[in-house]
Amino acid sequence: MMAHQEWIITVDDEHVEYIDDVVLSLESVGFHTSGVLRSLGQVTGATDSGQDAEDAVSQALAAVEGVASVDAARRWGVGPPDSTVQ
Amino acid sequence: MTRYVVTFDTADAGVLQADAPDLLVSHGFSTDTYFSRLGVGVVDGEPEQMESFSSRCRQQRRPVSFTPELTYYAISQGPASSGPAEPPYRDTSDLSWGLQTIGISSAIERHHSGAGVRVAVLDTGFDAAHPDFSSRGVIAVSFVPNEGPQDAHGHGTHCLGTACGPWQSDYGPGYGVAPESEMYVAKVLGDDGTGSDSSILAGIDWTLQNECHIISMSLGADVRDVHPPYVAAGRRALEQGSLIIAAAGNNAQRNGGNPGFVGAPANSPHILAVAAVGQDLRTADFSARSSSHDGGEVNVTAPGVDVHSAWPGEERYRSISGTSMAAPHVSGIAALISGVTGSRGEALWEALIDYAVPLEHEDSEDAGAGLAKLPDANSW
Repeated sequence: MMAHQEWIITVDDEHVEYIDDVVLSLESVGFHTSGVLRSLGQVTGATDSGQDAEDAVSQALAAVEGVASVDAARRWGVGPPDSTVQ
Repeated sequence: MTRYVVTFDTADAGVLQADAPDLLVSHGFSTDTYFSRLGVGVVDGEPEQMESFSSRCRQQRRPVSFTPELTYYAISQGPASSGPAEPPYRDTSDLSWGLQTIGISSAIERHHSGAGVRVAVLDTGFDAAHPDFSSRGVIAVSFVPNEGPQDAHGHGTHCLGTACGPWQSDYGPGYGVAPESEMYVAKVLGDDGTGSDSSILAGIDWTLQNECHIISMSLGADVRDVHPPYVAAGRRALEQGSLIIAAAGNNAQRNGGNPGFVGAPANSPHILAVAAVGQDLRTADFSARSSSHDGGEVNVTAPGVDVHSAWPGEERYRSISGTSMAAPHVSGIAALISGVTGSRGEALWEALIDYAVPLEHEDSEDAGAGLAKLPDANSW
């Protein structure tokens, strides 16, 4: 089974207004876009890591013109409803 | 025994001069310090006794309110003796202790209720059927795959209640800071209380499209590293006039000698981090301390222990603790200030810091600029 990795791509200030072009470039290196966040200048999506090591994938994304940073998506949370501290 | 200020809520002179002292005496209270023209008395009592007195008076259509008597000091002068300075705050029949502590009376007196200010709460959604919100317009959207905006957890309804709920409720004390603010709910955490960056950032982006003034995020992870997407998100939000206010984190165990650290995303430099105090205005046991890197500081502190607010379903209300409960107090304060001054983004951040009151017994590493407060009634 192919490994699947979700990413947050932050577009640099100069390219925010050309974010659609950045998305096309990302997709040309194997990025599957799930969201284009125009106000934030960020793109969410995933790659099938395949045989590539994660850092190789991330380097390919980071090399796209207009990309400021590439970060593996995290998960966040709050305590369960019955916990006294939340 | 605690000293309470009791106020009879009527302008009827006959009630204030005759019925009110009779009621006090019949419940065993002294009338030595009762001012009949004001309808105000000061009595010694236990909280349970005050509650029972209040409900008896309400049954007899002589509504009263009571609050613990405060000791006032000149600004910048502390009390003469050392030890705990502030009296412990308690929920009364009228107001949660949190509202009392942030100085809500000033907003009530001036009718500053956050009208026209858009407050977004990014959390587990919201209970649209809650009686305190059913008559108000709430714009609610889910960014969690396969889940609608209804809150099946409780956390989101509680946080929205603190930021935007009512000053008065038919079912208990008032508990919301900015009751006329416009509520934008982005469900970014699922019914299990967890969510992904993709959902949270999509939620922030949506609030920016909707030109929300304030984005309240009571969520996080116990990680020290700054997560870069939130550095960009916080900066771009500020540039567009939106202030992100986040919970500092609950990873401390101070009784065990562990002060914890401000976790992501509150540790991002353009996101305002909120710590928690209890009713004694001391830093809560769980409330995280500033991280050492730039932007990792606690910026202000706010009520976050045994906070009464809305809860989904039949239960309607619950008292819970956490920096998650402190952050929406600050979001509500920001809404009220923005509603009056029109300040947004960086200017709103600075106003919150300016109005915060340093806590004498607390280190700024734990409480930042101090307790988040509303301006005095005569200064806004």
